[in-house]
Formats: sequence, structure tokens, C-alpha cells
Amino acid sequence: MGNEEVIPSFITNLFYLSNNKIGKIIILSIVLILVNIIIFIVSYIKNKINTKFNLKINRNVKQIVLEHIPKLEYMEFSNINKSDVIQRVNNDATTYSEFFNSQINLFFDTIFIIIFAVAQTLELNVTVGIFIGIICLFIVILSIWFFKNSKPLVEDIVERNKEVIEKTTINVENSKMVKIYNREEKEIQDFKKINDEYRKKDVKLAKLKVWYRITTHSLRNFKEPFILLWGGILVVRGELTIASLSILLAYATKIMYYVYDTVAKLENINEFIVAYKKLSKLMKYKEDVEKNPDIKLSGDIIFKNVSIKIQENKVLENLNFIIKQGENIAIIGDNGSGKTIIAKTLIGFYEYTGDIYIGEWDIKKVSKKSLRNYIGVVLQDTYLFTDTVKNNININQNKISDKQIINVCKMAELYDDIKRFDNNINYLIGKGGNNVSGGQKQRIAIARTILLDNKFIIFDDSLSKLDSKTKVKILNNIIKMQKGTIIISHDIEVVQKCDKVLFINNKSVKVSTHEDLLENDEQYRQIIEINQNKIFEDED
Amino acid sequence: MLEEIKNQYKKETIKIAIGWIITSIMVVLFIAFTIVMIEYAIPSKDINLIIKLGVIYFGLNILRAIATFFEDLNHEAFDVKVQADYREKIFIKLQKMNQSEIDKIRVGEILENMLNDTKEFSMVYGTGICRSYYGGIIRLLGTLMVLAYLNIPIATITFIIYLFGFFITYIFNKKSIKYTKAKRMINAKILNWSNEQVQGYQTIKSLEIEKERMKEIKSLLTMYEESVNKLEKNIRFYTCIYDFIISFVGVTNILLGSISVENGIISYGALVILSRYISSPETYARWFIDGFQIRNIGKIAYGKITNILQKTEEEINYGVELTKIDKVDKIEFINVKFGYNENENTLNDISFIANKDEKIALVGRTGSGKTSLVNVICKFYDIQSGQIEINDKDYNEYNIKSLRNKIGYIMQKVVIFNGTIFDNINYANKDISKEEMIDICKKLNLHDKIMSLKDEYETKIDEDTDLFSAGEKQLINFARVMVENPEIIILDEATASLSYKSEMLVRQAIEEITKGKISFIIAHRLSTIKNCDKIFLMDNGEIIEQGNHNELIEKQGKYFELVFSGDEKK
Repeated sequence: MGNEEVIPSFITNLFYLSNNKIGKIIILSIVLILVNIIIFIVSYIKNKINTKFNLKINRNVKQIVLEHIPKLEYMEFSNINKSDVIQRVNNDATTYSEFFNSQINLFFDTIFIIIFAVAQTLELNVTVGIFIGIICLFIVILSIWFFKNSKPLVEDIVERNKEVIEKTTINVENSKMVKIYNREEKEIQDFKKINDEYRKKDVKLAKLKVWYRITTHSLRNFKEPFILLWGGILVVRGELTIASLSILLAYATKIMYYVYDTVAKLENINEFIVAYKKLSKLMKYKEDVEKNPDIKLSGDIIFKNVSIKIQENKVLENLNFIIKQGENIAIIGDNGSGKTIIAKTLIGFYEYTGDIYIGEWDIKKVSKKSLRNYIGVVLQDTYLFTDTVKNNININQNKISDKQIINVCKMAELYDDIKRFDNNINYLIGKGGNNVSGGQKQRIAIARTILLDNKFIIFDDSLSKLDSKTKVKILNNIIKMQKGTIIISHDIEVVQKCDKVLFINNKSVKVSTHEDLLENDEQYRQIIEINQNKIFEDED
Repeated sequence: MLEEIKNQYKKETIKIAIGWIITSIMVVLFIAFTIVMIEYAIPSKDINLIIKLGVIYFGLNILRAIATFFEDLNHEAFDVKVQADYREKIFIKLQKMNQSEIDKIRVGEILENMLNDTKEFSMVYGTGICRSYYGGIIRLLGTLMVLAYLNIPIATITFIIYLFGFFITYIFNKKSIKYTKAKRMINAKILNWSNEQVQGYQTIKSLEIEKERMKEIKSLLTMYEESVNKLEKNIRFYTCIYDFIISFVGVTNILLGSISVENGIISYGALVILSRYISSPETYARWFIDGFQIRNIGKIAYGKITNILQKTEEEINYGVELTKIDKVDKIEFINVKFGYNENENTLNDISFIANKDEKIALVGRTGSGKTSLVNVICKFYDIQSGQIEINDKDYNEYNIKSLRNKIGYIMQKVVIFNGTIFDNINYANKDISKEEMIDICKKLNLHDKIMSLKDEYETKIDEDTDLFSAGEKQLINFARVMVENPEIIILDEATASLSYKSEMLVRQAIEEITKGKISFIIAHRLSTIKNCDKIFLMDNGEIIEQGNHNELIEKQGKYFELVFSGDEKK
């Protein structure tokens, strides 16, 4: 009895294996168990392939993004919001790949089930089929409504979240300032405002979610009353069997489930789109593509009619001077005058017009690597990695003996400090160098650069946190090594040790000796006087 | 933990509990009604009855929808409320905490507490208790009773199979913790690498170590892949086994059910109902089981939150008031000993007298105690022994809030927050008029610069603002203190490179601000030090030399050495 046309014939044939009804039932059960075993094996394999696929995509996306960042051009990089980048690399890459994967999984399942189940349902009873179709349609429409309306709310909540984070961070990091100005009450008031806004938006989103959830849920629950009412009438009229009724219920439930599941998983589409957009933006930044050959450079540094522009503002112009190999030069200038820029241009961070030669080589025609091998820089803002002192100094990870490292530390006047650290050169430096003082950081950076054995070293205000005694000692050590140095500093002790002074004034450069400038240039005198004699090393 | 929730949110918790109970009862009724339709209405062959009952069934569904709507709304709104309330509590606590407690806090942790822990805690009542018990158990028992009403053997076997499935889940959960931990650890390393890559960008480029960095990240990514693989394998295995076990529920139903129908034990319609609802207990049992984990996680989160909320607060409102007109004429330290920890001797037997209109330079190497001295004056920490007197009265007797009103601290770092220039300068949040503000800014030579901006004092600025140079930002700090008009000035001399113009302005500002006050200046520059009335040379927490510049030079002691180091000309 019932719609036997629904069942594939090879299965019905199985039933003729046994004559006894119970026997038939047992055969059916065995078939079911066999099918379940097959499902088990297939699921396992499917999942295994899925995971492999997932991981590949996840890794590729992460790798592509992570490889892209170090290659970015300096100017591009300076304009990016740093914390944003980190967020993109980790969260967005993960969101992107996870969404991708979960969708592929579900997609095939859903398509197949829906087609099969819908076909069967329509074959059994057209009215019920159409009813289910209408409910599914409603669910889809509701989903679109939900996604559209939740998007601005979600974005808004992310902003509120950021505000809470910023406010809390500032308050914890500057608690002394809050206390000394007795600002606790005001900060609490301000926070309450932010928090209330956050809560309101959260409640709004929650309401939206509840509407969506309950409405779709209730729509799905209408299938029981409808099928039992309509189906019941058909059964009474003899147009439908109870078996078919049961099948209709089962299929209807399955279809609803898959439609709802797919649509619910698409909830993440908002986040996926956002992640995709942000990642694309990041990938669009220009990379530094090296086209020039690596050359072993040597010789004097020659500036000919050089002008340097930054973001459409002319910072320096008509630079004409020579720095002989092995010379020690001081660059002096008022703050913001462009001293650091000359240094950074020499290692390829900035563009310029005019010519800069090292020996006979135009630096525009050699690789940036050549420049950076010839000229070492100790930057103003020292950055240390979360690693041991030894690994921070031996940054190139060459095979090097501890003795050589200690030698370099001695030259950077760092050895006394190292002796006092736990584990000496194996002392672990904390995040961002939070367990070493500012002066120690600078000296580690100096040791690091000395080890690289460049022919020229640029000190970009990187002696600033040291007291005069130490500064002079380090300089003496370096001069003994007979490297050329370019020192950006205001210290009179330092300047006196140099052969020449490059004085930057009003976007142009005057080259002379310290004594000469002191005698003849008023502004030079002022700058030197102001910066006289810092006796004590900074607290950090 | 539960008492606290129930006490604080009496109305809401009762509403949610009732909501869940009502909706659960309705769900069970809904299922039971299916029996009415199939076992009663359809076999009766009375179409009118079928229609009548069918319409009631629809109505029941609508009622159920309405009930569920209100229950869910209350539930979600409650979760949100708890999160917001505890976020606020934590923030308020942060404002009131002792400085020594704040020193121990890491920003990352506190943010986790505020955002993640509050979320996990908020889920305890609604999801962890109500959904788990009032939702899960009532519906589970209700469904099982319906199934048992139809056929006890089938219901029992189904129940046992589910139990077995959940036992497997329990074992799996324990195993996966190990793999999840490993995965998180490596992820943290990758995050750290990304951080370094971004913040150390210039360093990495200028030192040409990009290749080494790439090697490092590749190996990290491989390790991550491996640990995820292990975790996924575990999950995969579990999922397939679990599904296989649960599939026997369906098989049992069909096997036993069909045999029962054949032997006339149950009706065909009953089999239909059984087939439809045999898998329902699973969802509800899951709710019940998940409840354990949610409550556990919530408990841990609650522990962390309570940990913060129980920290000691500063009593800033008790004691003798220093009113606006009270002047500070004298500060005296008598044998003061202080350390941040029990065993430390950060300040060792400090004694001195500071009088009105005196500028005192605090000089010494890193760690000599200058900042600690200043911290103690501000009462950020308590001293271990000795006495500090203000106007010949023990400073412990004074109301801390009014004491701090009398202290102006110009720190090295300038913190600009999101707001107008006016708000930033009026950091002390006083009732200050525009005229008074302009007056102050004129004295510091800030006024013209501000007026040159489009919105003048209403210009919006933030942390990254490049409207002001480093020197001008320093001046904002000075302006802030002048708004407060304190009696005691503490200045931590900024050593960042300032332009010549800024240097001059800052020097002038120091002159302006220290007129008629007692000033403590943590000084680095000789010119500043020479200008002070007293110099305290500090080393190892003690004042080893005291006097003005000329006196100390004559002494030819440590101060003399420091001033004349490496300077042949002098």
C-alpha cells in the first residue's frame, strides 16, 4: 500500500527476499544500518578533505597577507594605521577563510537535499509542496531583511566597542594623571555615556535578532498544523495514505532545516564582506619591487643638487655636499628641519630629485640591499624583539660566538649592564622592551648595528637617552673602528669629535667645521647653547 | 555567584524563568497535540473535527510564537544588561583603585575582563540555568513522556542510546582541551610576530632582515597547521562516531516500531509521531549538557571579575580639607623610608624641608629615587616609616582629594584625548571661563597658535593629532596645570628633542608656572638645574648632596664630577 512509485525498484526487490513481514522489516533495518555505515565512512572522508582544504586556504590567505607587509614601500606603510593592520592580518584572514570553508560544505549538502526533497514532496502532494515553498520564500525574505538591518547596527557596535577599549586603555595607562587631576568622577561620567550607548545598540540588535529568530521559527512550526490538517482531510478522503503523510512531515522538516541553516550561516556574510574589503585594501598597497643589482659599494657619499619632497611638501632642497669615506660628520638642525630625512633617504626610504652617488655608483641604480649593507642605521625609535639580548644583537642569525657578542657590547658600553642582567646575554627582553631602560635599548641597538659591520653608521639621535660620558665613550670606540659616521645630535661633546658639521637651516645645508659655524652663525650658536650638557640619563 | 545575580536582578530573573517554563510547557503541548490529530482526529474520519482541531493547532502555534518572543526578548535584553552593568562596575573600580594595585594590571587582561568575561558571565543565568533546566529538562522529560506514552520499549532504548552518545561527548570534550590549548599558544605567537612586524617595520627594513622574519613566520604557520590538524582530526572522529551512534535511534524506531505495528501493539499513526519526534530529545538534552560547560566558564569569568571588584580602593574623601584659599607654605620629609615592595629600599631615610617659592631640582641616575619621591608626595603610595608634614601637620590627616587639588604634575608624556582643545586643556574639569583660558594660553604663548586654527578653541584633536608640534604639546601640559592653579608643582623635565623655539617657550613656561609655589623639578639639563634654589643629588634612594649649584660646585663632590665630566674646556 502507499505510493510505491516513490521507492526505487532495487530496494523494493529486496523485500521479496523474505515472505514473512517481520523478515521484511528486519531486512529493511539491516539495509538502514548498512547505509549508516556508508554514511559514516563517507562523512569521515568528506570531513578529512574539508579540513585539508580549509587549512590550505587559511594558511595561504595568512601567508599572502603576512608576506605582503614587509614588502610594502616605506611611504605606503607610514600612512597605514598600525593596529588596524594587525587586526586585519589575524582576524580578517581567519574570518575570510572560515566563511569560505563553511559555505562550500553546506552548499553542496543543501542543494542536493533541497532538490531531492522538494521533488519528492511535490510528487506526493502538490499543495503541501507549494505551502512549503511559500514558507521557505518567507524565510529567505526575512533573512534578507535581517541582514540589511543588522549591518549598520553591527558596525555601530564595533565602534562602541573600540571606544570602550580606548577609554579603558587610556585610563589604565595614565592612572596617575587621572588621580592627580582628581578626574575620576568625570571619567566615570564619560564612560557611563559611552557604555549606555553601547548597551542601547546591543539591545536594538538583540531585538532584531529575536524578531528574526522567532518569526522564522514559528513559520517553520506551521508545517505541522498545515500538513496534519490538509493531509488529514486527504487521508479521510482516501487520496493520501498515512505513510505518505509521515513522509511529507519528514521531508518538510528536513527542507526547513536546511533552508534555515544555510540562511543562518549566511549571517556571517556581513563579517566576510567586511573582512574581504579590508584585506583587499591592504593587498592593494604598493610593494617594493627590487629591480637593481646588488653591488658591493665603497667610496664617498656625494650629494648633487638633491631635493627631497614628502607628501607634496619640499622639505630639503639644493643639497650639495660630500661625505668622505671614513669621515665623522655631525648633522645639526632645529627639530623638524629634516635631519632624519637625509639619513632615511640614504637607505632608500624616501624619493628625491637630483643625484646621490656612493663612490661612482648612482644609488638609484643599485639595490636597496646594497645601500643598507653599506650604511647601517641606528634609528631614533629603537625597536627590540621579544627575544634574548643575544638574538636581538645577532639579528642576522649568523653563526657567532658569545665572545664576539660580548666584544660588541663592550664597544656599545653595554657590557656592564649585561653583567647585571639575569642570564647575561640570554636575558629575555619583554614586549616592546619593557624591562630595559631607554638608554639600554639604545645601546643594544648600537651593538646590533656594530655587529653588522657596515662601512658607515648613521646615528639618528640614537644617543639621545645617554649621558654625555657614555656618549663620548661609544663614539671613541667607533672612531677607533675607522668607520665613517653620520651623527644626528645636538651634543657639543659629540659635535666636537666630528670632522665636519652639516648644519640644516631653512631647508638647505651649510657644511663647515664646528668652530667656524659657532663663530659665524647666530642660529647655530643658539641651537648648540640650548642643548648643552644633558647630564642625566632618562627615566623610562 | 547565583545569589548575586538573583539579588541584583530580582524582577528580570523571575520573568525569564517563568518565560522559559511557560514556553517549555507549550512546546510539550504542541507535541502532544500531534497525537490528538493523528490518533484521534484523522481516524475519526470526521472532516469537520479535523478542521476544528487543525485551527486550534494553528492557534496554539501562534500562542507559542508570542510566548517564545517575549521569553527570548527578556533573555537577550537581560544578557546585554548584565554585560553593560559589569563593564561599568569594572571601570568605576579602576578609577577608585589604589595605584599600587593598578601597577599590577596589564591592559590586555583588563580589557578581556571587561569585554569577554562579562559576556561569559552574562550567559550563566539565561542560558546556563534557565535554558538548561527550565528549557532543557522540562522539554526533554515532556518529549520522552510523549514517546513513552506511545511505546515504552522504543522510548527507553532511545533514551539509552542518547545517554551513550553523551558519554562519548564527555570523553571527547576532555581530550580536545589539550589540543585547543596548543592551538591557542601558537596563535598567540603568530599574533606577536605580526605585532613585531608592524611596529618594528623600520628596523626590519633598515637592517635587511626580512628573509629571516619570513622564515620564522613560515615555521610558525606550519606549526599552527599541524596543531589545527590534530584538533580537527579529533573533532572529525568524534562527529562521525557520534552521528553513527545516534543513527541507531532511527533504526530502532523503524525496526521496533514496524514490528510493533505488525503485532498490533501500536497504531500506524503512532509510528508516524514517533518518527517525527524521536530526534527531538537530542536537542533538549544538549541544552542540558551544554549548561554545565556554560556555568563552568561563567564561574571562572565571575571569579576573575570579582577579583578585580574586590581590590582595595583609595579613601580620597576622608580627612581635613585643604580649601581653595589654603596655602602650602612648607613641605617637610622626616626620615622617610619607602619601597614599592616590602623588601625594597627605594627611598632610604629621606629628610628635607621645602619652603614656599623654592624651586628644587631632583637629579640623579635612573633608579636613584627621584620619581619615587614625587610619587610619595602625590600620595600614590604609602610610606613605610618616617613622616611627611605639610604646613607642620602630618599629611595623612589631609583629605587626599583636596591635597591632590593642590598639586600640579607636569609629566613627560603628553596625553591628548578625543575632545576639543578647550576640554583637553581643562583636564582638571574646573568651572573655568573662556577668558581665563585665553589668559593662561597667552601667558604660555599658545593662544596665537590656537587662534590660527579654523575652530580655534573648539578644534577637535585626538591622540594622533599633528596640529601641534612636540614642544607645543608640552605647553598644553603646562596650561593644564595652570588651569588647576595648584600650590605645589612637580615637573618631570621632558627630554625629547624640542626645537629651539619650543625650548625657549618651555623655559619661559617653567618660569611662569613656578612663581610663588613650591616646585620639584626632575631635571636633566644643566641650565634648568642651575636655575633652582636647591638641588637634591640622589643616589640609591638617598639624598647624597644638598645645596644650590654654586655651593655644590665648591664642595667638589659627586655633583661637581657629574657637571664637569668629559668637558675639557671648562
